[in-house]
Amino acid sequence: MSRDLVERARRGDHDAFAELAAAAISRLDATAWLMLRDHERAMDAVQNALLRAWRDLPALRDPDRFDAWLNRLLANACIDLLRRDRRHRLDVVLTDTSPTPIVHDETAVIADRDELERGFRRLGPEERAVIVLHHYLDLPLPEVAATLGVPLGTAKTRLYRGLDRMRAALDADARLEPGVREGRPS
Amino acid sequence: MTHADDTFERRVHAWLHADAEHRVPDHLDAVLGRTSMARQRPAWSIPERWLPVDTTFRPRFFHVPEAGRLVLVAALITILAALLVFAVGSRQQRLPPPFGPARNGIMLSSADGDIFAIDPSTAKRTAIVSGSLFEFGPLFSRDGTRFSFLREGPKDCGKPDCGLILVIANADGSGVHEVTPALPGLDGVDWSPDGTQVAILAMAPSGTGHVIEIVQSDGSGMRTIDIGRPVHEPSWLPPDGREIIFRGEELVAGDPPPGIFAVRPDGTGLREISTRPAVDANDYQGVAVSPDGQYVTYQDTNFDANPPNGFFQVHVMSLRTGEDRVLPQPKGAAAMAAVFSPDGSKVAYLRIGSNGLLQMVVAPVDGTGLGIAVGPQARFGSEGATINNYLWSPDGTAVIANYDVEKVARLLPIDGSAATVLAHGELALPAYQRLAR
Repeated sequence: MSRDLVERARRGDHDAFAELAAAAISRLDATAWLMLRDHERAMDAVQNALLRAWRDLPALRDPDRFDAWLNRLLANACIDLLRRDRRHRLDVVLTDTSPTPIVHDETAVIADRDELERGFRRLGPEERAVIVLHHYLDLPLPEVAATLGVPLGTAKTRLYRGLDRMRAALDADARLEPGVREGRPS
Repeated sequence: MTHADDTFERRVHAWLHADAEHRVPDHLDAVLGRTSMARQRPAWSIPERWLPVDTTFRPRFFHVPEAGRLVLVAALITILAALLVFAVGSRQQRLPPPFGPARNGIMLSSADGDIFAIDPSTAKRTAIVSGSLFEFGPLFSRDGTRFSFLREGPKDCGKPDCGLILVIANADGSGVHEVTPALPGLDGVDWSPDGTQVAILAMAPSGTGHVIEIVQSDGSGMRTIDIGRPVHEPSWLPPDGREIIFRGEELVAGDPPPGIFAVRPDGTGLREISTRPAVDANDYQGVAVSPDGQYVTYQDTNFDANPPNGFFQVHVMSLRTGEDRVLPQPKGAAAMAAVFSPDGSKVAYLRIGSNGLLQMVVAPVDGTGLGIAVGPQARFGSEGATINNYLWSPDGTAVIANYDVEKVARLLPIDGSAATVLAHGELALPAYQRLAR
């Protein structure tokens, strides 16, 4: 990211903004896809974030923080879409009814991507955001907290709670008959 | 963290990277097409960076309301009868002049994809264009006998933006007919003085910014005025509409600086009206013409008054002499987005006080006073100004404005009497019918 490009874009140079957007769009698109799990909505989120970035760019105090700021706009756009979507969906919560602890090979439980995806889809918007920012964009937790505008402790809590919920979902899946699992809404 | 936790996190990490690696974003052009149509907001207009003077305001000509709950008031027979009387009467009696004060008729607005009429005396409203299509943004012709509105284009066109269609109907909602195909970027509608044509903005062929389209109101065709640079805020120059006034925009590198221009409706006679070089790409915004065609108002940023972010200020410039005056403001206040009263003696605009609150103000055009505040104050929202879409009543006694946070449209008498709520809900730009006095 060039500071000069950001400065030019801040002054209304759309060509400079186009260069910044071109450099960022792969990262943004992948991040949005990972959070939303939906191609169309990922496009919407990226468009919303970049449109917001263009409009509000003059307010960016530190050009060196452009990428972090863009991440924040995108994360907020994704969270907004997820929250909106959740209002219209029936969330099904699985309850573990097994009375006895199950000893299992965790590596085997999470071996396939479908299972991970099913677990991830059960997370709330904020948990998804923390996990993607930390584990895909490789942002350290203080940076994740700053990106989402939450205290560091909150970011940590969301990360570990999100991973726990994924793990619990995978455990529950592993104990269900395949036919039952396939018939369940996610 | 346990070893097992580390293993699980590594799995999540690897899954995320593997899942994302084949993504090939193909919508950059569409994104940039949208950003090229949008104007940047000056830094001081954005709440996170608020300094107690600011603001940019882009009037949202056609703010598409979010789909949401909005229960239409049951149709009242008496109101329908009144609408018919107004509409039929306006055709049978003499028509108002295209500009200047007129008698108040009905109001139109839109919500939830339908057009409805509002009786300003009772605040009762009645749907007059409704159905499965998403329709919004009504605007009366200058004689009040017809109105235009926008209809969402087909969703299955295979493009990121399927565009909007300009539609025209009689004042009572009958005779609905489309007068354009679906046009991406459709915005900024303005009726010609004689009602035979409508000037609109549509996306430029280059995909960056807008061009002016002159649409025949009977649906017989349209022609493009492309002056080779992006344009915005077109309005027919009173009293006869021999020219169209507009803002020339600077959107990309290579565009000339912004300014105010005029061109004949046939695309000839392009001339610049602005008399000084633009300060920056945000200069000369909020262009509006007085009803007598003698003045134009616009806004710019006074950087000297509040470095580095500046104050927005409203100008009134004589089209005859080029004299350009800044309307005075209280200390520490900014002003933006003025609209002329029907008699051309006053303007209504948004003031941002030193307390950071928005306030509608009515002030004399000649700059002899600070004006009077009308209606309640409002805070900035995440999208900028939360008082939007304001216009004068045809008789010049009140201003109608949308208060976005409260989701109400208010009638603000300029004599200082109490404001009244005309309608609840998320409303688009209202339109006020002009009737002969």
